Amino acid sequence: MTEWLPVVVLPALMLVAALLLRIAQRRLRTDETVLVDAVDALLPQTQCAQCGYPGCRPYAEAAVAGAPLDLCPPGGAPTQAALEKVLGRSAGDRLPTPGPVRAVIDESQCIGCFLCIEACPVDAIVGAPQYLHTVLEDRCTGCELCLDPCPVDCISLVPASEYANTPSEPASLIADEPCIRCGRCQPVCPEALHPDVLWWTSRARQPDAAVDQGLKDCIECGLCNQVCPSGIDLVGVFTDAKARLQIEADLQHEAERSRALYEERQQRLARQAVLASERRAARLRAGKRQW
Amino acid sequence: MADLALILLGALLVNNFVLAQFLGLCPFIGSTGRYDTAAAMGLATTFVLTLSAAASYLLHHLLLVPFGLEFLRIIVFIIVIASVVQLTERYLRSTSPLLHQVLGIYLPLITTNCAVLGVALLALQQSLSFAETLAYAAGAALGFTLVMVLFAAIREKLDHAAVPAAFAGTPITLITAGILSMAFMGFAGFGAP
Repeated sequence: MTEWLPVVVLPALMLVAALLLRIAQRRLRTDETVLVDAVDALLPQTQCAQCGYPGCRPYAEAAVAGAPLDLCPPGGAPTQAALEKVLGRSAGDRLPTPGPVRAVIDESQCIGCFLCIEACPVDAIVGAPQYLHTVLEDRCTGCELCLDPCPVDCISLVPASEYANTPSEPASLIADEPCIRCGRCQPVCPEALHPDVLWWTSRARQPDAAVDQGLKDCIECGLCNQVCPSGIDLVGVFTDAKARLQIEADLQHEAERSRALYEERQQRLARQAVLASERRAARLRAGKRQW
Repeated sequence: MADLALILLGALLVNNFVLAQFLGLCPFIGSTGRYDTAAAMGLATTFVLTLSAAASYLLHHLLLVPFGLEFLRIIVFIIVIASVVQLTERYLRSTSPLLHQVLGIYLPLITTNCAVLGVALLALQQSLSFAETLAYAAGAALGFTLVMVLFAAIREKLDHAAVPAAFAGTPITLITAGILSMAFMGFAGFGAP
């Protein structure tokens, strides 16, 4: 009898464990929308559909469900890296990093056909049929969706002027570390910051840590530069790090606005469709022939 | 009561599972790159460790001993640990999908964290009572979390340091772990009569 006991006890135990897990699985429904929201927030909201999905939100849903992460050309390498980090899987080769671009209409060639206005997902092109069209630069996301419909090829993409002065890698970040940790920069800082710590964190590419240490409070007075015995251009590094943070914030803001514009447009189109079908129904009721 | 506190402190500091007994080194090296991840990993392991030690104790004394099946204890404990890990994973996935993604593969790998099985087996070996087992497991788990958080904080600081090229990356991490372990040797002998 006893030799049969392990054979019974062990499967019974596994069965109990499996049942408990099954119950837990039923109870704890996974809320995927939290993850979709997080992924959607990382996308540039150009709504360009270059990924093959109809917009940024559909792509976010697909990415959470397992779609490749290297499908977003407007986001480029930074977006791909952010997606890989949140979703915990890597997607092979990095996309090239694009500069933000804007569409521009060559107004001497525009024939006023209205096709690009219908294609624009964020209502960035203004104009009326048979009249000249033009692009509102601060609304344009550079999604390229207006290029194809244009019958006279009068639309081109140019680098966005507001990001023309994006700082490149500053020399002092690449050089070997000359800081000897003497701490002389600390007492001279009028904002009571620790310029050396700020410098290390900026150098180690830890923008969050640098902000925690008060990077944004730096008034760029230059006193730390003057006392540094190694002659490090501390303020140069801080200015640069702050500019990067600002650009990131600007892009984030722009993405939020593009999302709002896109959603407004979708709602407007839905309203128009409802109105059109109501008018059609009214005409039918009035007994008029439709043609 | 004093006994329980002594067992807890002993497992937490004197016989710290990571730095004195060298168990659970995989997450200790693997998920201490960032402070928040390490803290979350420590808390997840704390939960798994305490719960599975308690469940293992109950199963051993209420099921295995009466039927004379003590030789099954390792495989039974592993079933318990795997179930608790699965439960934790489910729970994290439903409450905090982002954290679940950040912890990634290290979450299911708690199953193979030898500290978890080690606590259950060592508690048995020292024939502790149920309350003592709980104190022992809680001490081990808190000690694990403490070491994870300490080490992650040091590693974040290491990112700022000028490490010679030959030591950059894993070598300096391992050297730091060794020095931290030596520091914990200072607790040796505490609580001994």
